[in-house]
Amino acid sequence: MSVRPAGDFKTSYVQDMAILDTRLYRLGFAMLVAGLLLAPWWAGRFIFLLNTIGIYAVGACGLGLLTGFTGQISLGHAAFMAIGAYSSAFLSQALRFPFLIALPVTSLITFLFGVVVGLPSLRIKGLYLAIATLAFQFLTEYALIHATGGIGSTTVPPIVIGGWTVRTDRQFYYIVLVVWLAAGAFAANLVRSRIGLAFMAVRDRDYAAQVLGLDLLYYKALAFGIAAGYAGIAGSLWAHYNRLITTEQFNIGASIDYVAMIVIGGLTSAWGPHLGSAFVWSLSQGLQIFTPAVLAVFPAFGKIATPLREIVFGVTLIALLIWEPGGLAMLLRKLKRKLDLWPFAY
Amino acid sequence: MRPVEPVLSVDDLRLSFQGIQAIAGVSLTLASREILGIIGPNGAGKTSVLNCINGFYRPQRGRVVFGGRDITRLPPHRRAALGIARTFQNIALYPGMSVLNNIMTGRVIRMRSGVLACGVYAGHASREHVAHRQVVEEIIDFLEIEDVRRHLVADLPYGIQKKVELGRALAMDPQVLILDEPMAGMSADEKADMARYILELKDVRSLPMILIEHDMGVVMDLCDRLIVMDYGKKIAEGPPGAIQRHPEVIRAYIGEAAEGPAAH
Amino acid sequence: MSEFLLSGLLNGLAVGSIYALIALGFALLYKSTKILNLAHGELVLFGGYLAIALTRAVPFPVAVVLTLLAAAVLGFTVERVIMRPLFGQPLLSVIIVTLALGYVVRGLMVGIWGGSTRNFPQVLPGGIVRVAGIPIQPAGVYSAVTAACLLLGFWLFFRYSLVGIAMRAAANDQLTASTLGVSLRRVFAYAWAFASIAGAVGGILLGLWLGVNFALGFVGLKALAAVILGGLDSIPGAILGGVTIGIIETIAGGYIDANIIYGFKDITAFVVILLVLLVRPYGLFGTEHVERL
Repeated sequence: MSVRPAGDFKTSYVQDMAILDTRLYRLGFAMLVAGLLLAPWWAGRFIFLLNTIGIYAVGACGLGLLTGFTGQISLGHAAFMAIGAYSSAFLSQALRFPFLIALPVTSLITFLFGVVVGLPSLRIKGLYLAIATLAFQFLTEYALIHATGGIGSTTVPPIVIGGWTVRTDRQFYYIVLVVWLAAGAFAANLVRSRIGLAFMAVRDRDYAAQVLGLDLLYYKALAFGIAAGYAGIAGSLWAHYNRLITTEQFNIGASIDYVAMIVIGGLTSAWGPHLGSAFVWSLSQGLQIFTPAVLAVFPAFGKIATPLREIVFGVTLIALLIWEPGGLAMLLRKLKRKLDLWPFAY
Repeated sequence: MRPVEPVLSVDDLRLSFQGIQAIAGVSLTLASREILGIIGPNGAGKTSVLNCINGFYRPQRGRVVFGGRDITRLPPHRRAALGIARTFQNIALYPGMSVLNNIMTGRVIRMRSGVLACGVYAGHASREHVAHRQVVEEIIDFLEIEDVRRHLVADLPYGIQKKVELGRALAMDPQVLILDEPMAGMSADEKADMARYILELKDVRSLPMILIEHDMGVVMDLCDRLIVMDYGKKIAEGPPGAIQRHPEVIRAYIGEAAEGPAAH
Repeated sequence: MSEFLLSGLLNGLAVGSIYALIALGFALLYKSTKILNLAHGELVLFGGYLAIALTRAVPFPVAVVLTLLAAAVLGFTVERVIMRPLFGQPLLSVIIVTLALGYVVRGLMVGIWGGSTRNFPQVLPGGIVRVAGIPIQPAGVYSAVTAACLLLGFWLFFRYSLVGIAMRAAANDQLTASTLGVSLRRVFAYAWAFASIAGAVGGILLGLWLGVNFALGFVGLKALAAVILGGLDSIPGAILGGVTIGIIETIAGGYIDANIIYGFKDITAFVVILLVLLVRPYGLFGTEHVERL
């Protein structure tokens, strides 16, 4: 059962359905956004980490809608990201599209790919579907390797918006931040709207959804399309950020990372993908700094520097998920409940 | 008195699974403002008839006509959109969602906002959502479940879950309501409540209903007309009083130990 | 051409029998615990690396026995320490935990043995064996024979032993089995041990043939593919799926690689699976029921 904070009354349905439903959370969110806006001043050289987190959070948002809210497991999310990255590269390099047009066009292209890939999901379900998407992942990688003529990398021009060329990490960060916030808000709104209800209805009991008049094929294909659209945006950002893309960056490992992110963040929470991306990338970066520090003290560990990172990463994930299988969002929700009730136990 | 134009009619329905006849030529009609009961022993094919009406099963022969339109070939979601709502024997709610959201899912097909509007959630999409929320709140009032609005369905007792499922079906603004054992497993009080809602739906909303129920007292009181099924066939049809005295019905329910071979 | 086909068939059968063995472990674990183990490829690697390391100290047969024991212990440990606390948790969370387990196992192995390809010392006779006039590596023949024997052994075990029957009961319906006195904990522990052993044997066989390196971890995904091809809830399906993928990969993959476009071999399996699933959404032998995730 849900616990409502005392003394915070709602007098309209609009208030009741708000995403940030109390003054305290609105204040907290405002501070979070302010902190992110000022990030170039406090993050220093780690601004690149925020860029990475933001880009992957956008992609993970899409997968969250597909897997968390619609219940379709996809092991091919990075393939959509790849399609987005290469489309964006092509559009801006060969066709000289400005970024502000290339980005939505890219998203539209990947949306269409997503819809097509989603069509078989009416018949192929669950883990079978996961493997079908895995096949799509491999086929896409393969096609891209051959289309780009081997393992070499593709260069991507920098973003130019109205004569302003985005060159530094800090400048790029604001592009990422705007897209990130918009994408996150869009996903959170979708979840509470009729689309979100329909997705969850399809996820939890498909025959009941049919009885409610919901076309399973439409909503599954739509979920795949939206997820792919998000991945396309992430891919486009990634391409323009790195300026050099290879198919390696979007391999099966990246697809699995995406799934890990949304599970760690919390599958059925609009915050999940963001928390997951932040956690995974911060942990990975933290270990990269931490490991040499350990080596400086214990040089004997030198041989296992790289694997040590992998081991600690794995152990952290295992510990976190054993502690709270619902992910970080569930941990936060429990914390929130404690705060709401404090100083009483219930 | 027979209505001229039935709301829903099923004509000579035949359905078999791998050679086993589940329905062997059943016809029925449902008039407006009528509660039609389907009774019969377990395995008589009652639920299969409902599944043919709402489209989960495709009969090998026969027609289903709703509002003057042949819907035999329509997929389930299209029939639901036309106004056929139903509940299930084993509750088919969304256990992980709140009561409010469960009933809200029934309104989804009545909402029109597009994907982009939903994602932006300003102006029309937001107003539309609020309007539908109001309808849902009215249903919650009607079913007297205000106090559990925010509870997860999984945490609720069985009787209340049945109410919520009725609420979800009502949220669709249906033209016809199909209830598969709406009172199974309920206490006497809960049954009385459910009966009250059903009668009120008939009287106030003029909602025609098809009802499968095993509690004979309830069936006799609620239904205007009964169909008795056994072994996939309709063995009797008529007003409750006549059905009670029908010899075939008595035989199907009590058995034919007197004349047949060893009763099981 | 016909010799190419026949040689592909034989070699494919040999590789396929190893895949089948690995897939069997995978399917067994899925069937008894409903856990999709993304660390299965790492278990295969573990078997290969450990056996190679042990052959430096002890004779090959002893090394194999010790490796299998170690694999069983690893399986028991994983079940006890990691999987038991997660019993009944959302499927995807558990899958991601197995993925993380894979990271840990791989990290440990790289830390201990380094990342390069390792080979067994010459334990099998060298040269080329001819089967029906077709040249084939002896390792392939040994692999096929060993895999076949082990598959038979597993089959007998599940058919006649008490533990095997308990595991089948649990696979059929966990709740009912537990009311009939089957200890689910024990079943899960055995399932992990068996999966781990089957993986280790697969690792040793593949290692004898091709050497062990980290690219071999990819067979975990191939085993998953084999299981899906056969149908998730069918053990014979998993075995047949493994053999089929081995053969298709060798013949079609080899042919396309050599004659049309390069690099197709490793993804042939997945293309076949995609096509099969489009026609039969529950694999070749899977029963059609709604998979809830």
